[in-house]
Amino acid sequence: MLNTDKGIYIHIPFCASKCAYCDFVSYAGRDSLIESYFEALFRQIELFPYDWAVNTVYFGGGTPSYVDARLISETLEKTARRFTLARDCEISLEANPNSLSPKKLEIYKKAGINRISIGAQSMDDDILRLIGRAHRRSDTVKAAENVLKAGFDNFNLDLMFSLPKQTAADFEDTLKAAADLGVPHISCYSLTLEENTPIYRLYEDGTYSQDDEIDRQMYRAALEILASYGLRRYEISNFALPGRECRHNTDCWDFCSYAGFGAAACSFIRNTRLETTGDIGEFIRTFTEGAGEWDAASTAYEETAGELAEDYIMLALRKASGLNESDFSARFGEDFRKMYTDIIRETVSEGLAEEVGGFYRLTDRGFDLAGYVTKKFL
Amino acid sequence: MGIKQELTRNFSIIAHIDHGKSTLADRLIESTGMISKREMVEQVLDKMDIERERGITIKLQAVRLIYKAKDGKEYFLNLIDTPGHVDFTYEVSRSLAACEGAVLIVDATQGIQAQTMANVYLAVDNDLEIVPVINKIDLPSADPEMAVREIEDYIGLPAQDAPRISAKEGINIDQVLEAIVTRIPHPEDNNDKPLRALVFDSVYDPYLGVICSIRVRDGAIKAGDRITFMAGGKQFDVDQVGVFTDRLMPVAKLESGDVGYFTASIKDVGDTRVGDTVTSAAHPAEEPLPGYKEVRPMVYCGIYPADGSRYEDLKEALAKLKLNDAALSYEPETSAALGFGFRCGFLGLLHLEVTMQRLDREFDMDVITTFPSVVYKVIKTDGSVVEVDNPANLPGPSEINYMEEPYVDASIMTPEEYVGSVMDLCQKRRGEYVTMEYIENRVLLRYVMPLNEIIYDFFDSLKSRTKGYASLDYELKEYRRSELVKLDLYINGDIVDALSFIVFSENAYPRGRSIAQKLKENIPRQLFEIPIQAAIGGKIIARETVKALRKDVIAKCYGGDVSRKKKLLEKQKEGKKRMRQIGTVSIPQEAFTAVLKLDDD
Repeated sequence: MLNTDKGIYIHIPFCASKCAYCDFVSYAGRDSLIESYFEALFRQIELFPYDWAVNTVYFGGGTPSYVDARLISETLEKTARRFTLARDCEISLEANPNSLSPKKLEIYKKAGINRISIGAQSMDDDILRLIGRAHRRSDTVKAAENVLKAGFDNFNLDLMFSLPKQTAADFEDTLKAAADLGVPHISCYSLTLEENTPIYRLYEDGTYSQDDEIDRQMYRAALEILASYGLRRYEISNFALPGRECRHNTDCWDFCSYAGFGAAACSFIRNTRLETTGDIGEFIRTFTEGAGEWDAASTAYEETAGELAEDYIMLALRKASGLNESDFSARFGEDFRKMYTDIIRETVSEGLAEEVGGFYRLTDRGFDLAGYVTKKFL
Repeated sequence: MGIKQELTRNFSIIAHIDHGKSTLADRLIESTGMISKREMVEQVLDKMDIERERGITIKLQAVRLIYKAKDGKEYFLNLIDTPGHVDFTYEVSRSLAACEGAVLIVDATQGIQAQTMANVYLAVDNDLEIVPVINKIDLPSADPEMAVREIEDYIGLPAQDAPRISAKEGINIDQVLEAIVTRIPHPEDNNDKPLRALVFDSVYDPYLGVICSIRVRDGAIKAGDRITFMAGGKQFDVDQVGVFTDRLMPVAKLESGDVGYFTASIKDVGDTRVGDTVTSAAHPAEEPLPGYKEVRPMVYCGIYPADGSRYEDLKEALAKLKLNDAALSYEPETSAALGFGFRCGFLGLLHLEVTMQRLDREFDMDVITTFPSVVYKVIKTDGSVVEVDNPANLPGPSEINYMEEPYVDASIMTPEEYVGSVMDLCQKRRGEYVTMEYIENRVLLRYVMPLNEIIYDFFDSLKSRTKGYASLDYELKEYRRSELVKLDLYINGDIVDALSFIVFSENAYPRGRSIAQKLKENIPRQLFEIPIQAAIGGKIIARETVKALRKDVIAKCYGGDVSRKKKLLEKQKEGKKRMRQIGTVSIPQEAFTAVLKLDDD
């Protein structure tokens, strides 16, 4: 059965401060724009032309929890007016540990938010300072308690590894401390160095270096430790108790359609990928000065069948379940095994992939080299 | 004496690179008014883009100027341009042989340089009247008196009256023209002798065939004549004779003293070698003009298309280049590592470099080149001698009695403060010190060095040690017996033929190490560990290891990342297209190029 879910993504590009590794579209110190941004956002949502029944809504950022919680409630109201939200709709919100007060959580709960994702990143205060995070370990512990207390049984902690000065032992400590909070979902990311970030310069001038061996040691520690808490890997960087996987992201990896609202938000609708301007001023101007189309500030690109198939493979291989061969042929009318016979044989013989029950999926070693395997299909 | 000869002057301009030769040529052309200023393209004599960029002239050509002198008479001034680089010394000498005199430019800010000296010697060898000119007097750092002193002290020419000019600003150009008329002798009238004309250039034109630039010494040549190339041996019927104005201008005949061209439906520039003598087939001269020699390539390397499927394109491109470049040689070769390509011979490294750039610019050919090699002489145990320009063809050690390599006389001019560093470099490159001469605050060093060491990144090292101030000139001297070995590179146990080279045995260890290191840096990690070994015979002398790829994964890929991440993967993969497969290892094109550049400092 094809997954036909649809999702909504809403981008909130405001933060209390910019983190040293971040190259997302997010602004610190632009609070005066928040009101007009939401006005524009509401307008954009109203202009959406399709009548969609949606299964997930995701508030990402930036830091959605940084802005007034009532703005989030209002956005959700507008969304519910324009879309038909499924009864079991997953509604997630990204939050920073130090901006997650019980008061806010109460408003979120009331508004219908049912999943909170906390940007913990590390449980080591020295490292948190180094990467420019404003919170400390105690803030994360407190936030997790508050989340549980407010009745959210579905929540996530984001963690990072391969950070400056981080040893494998440090990360194991972080993993255990995080899992001990009773969290049903953890995302673990190896730090990606993005150009034009403060942390990139530290690596560039040799202050820190990333070591692939240590990086993989940390990743393996995550696999083992989280498994011991019952959190199993369902995607390269995502671990969850069974049934607590993030539906919004899973749908994305399953090649479902999604509509993104707000500056820098991306959409994937039928065969077209859209990206809205990351220039927050332009975004606001477009939608407060009478734009008539929801994609007035977006660039659109219609992908060819070949490009779609490549996207599909890249995303499917990220999942632990792998690529569903019958799903592939249903979508693209081509036999995956026939189309890629050589690559499949090669990757299986290299020990990077395996074929099990109609699925083509990465092995443990393959997960370390997912990029290498994916490139073969491009 | 014919009046025509009396009113003709044939001259060249000689100078060190960048001392203003092309600029002065332009000013002379402008001042004589033969070509209107409107038509003047900047630097008329330099036809090719590359030449302009590098500030040198590769293909020589002549131009006829009409000058009304102060004595009221109108003169034909034939300016013969000369190539400006060490690789083309022979062509320069033939151009000079077509003249009676030479304008010697010395830069008032730099004084005499290595090439100034080398060119003066060539001019003196050809009995030319030398007219010194001091250029760039407009520059704040100009010291014309220093330049005059140097010309007098080190070349031995009176220079007090030398025109002080600025070719760039057009200052005192008339003085140069007057000096050419008054100082340079007119050509002799030898019209009654059998035809002898010196070939000093030839270029291919798709409509006319080869256009042969000649200086008529004796007799005359006109359309319809049947002529013989005395060294080349081939005969042709002349279609057209003419002179060079701003274009080819046909004339009725060319006679002794004239500089011009002829065409004869010749298809191959190889039939019209520079230095050859053209004579009449019906009434041949007894002796050719002196000085012809066959120019042979001194440096060889393999050239392969970066994209193996473009072999035919490369073949066509080389054939087209060859049309206008008799000195370029090429023949097909195959490499296990690089596939189908060509072994190409060049006069020197610059010739090689210029050819690469022309392949890139004129033919859009992206190529991989192998280590340049000189021509070694191998004296085999059976007494026979073979010449080897490709390490792949070196006979096995048991067949070799001994080997010889070419040595050159090298002249290096450097500012005084870098002498120590330059001498150190020459010693490292097996140079034998000959002499050292102080010229004001500069030093002219003479070394005898193996050519092998010069083609190996020597010029770049020299430039970097002297902040770009040193200049180099060299000439083949002799072959000498030498201890040479073939160094092979193994990647993952497979020999990479394209990386083999012949090296002086004492340098084999450091060079082997350095190349193994370079390869390690340029070969991307693969699923398995890749040993890189340098070996002589079967003996490993250096080893490096490319560690296995442990991680290649994008950490985050959500709805907003799809396009960006896929582009990232595609970009990474793009680099892989240019990979060459050696056994199970993929080697990027850059690895082959990187090993060509070694820094010994």
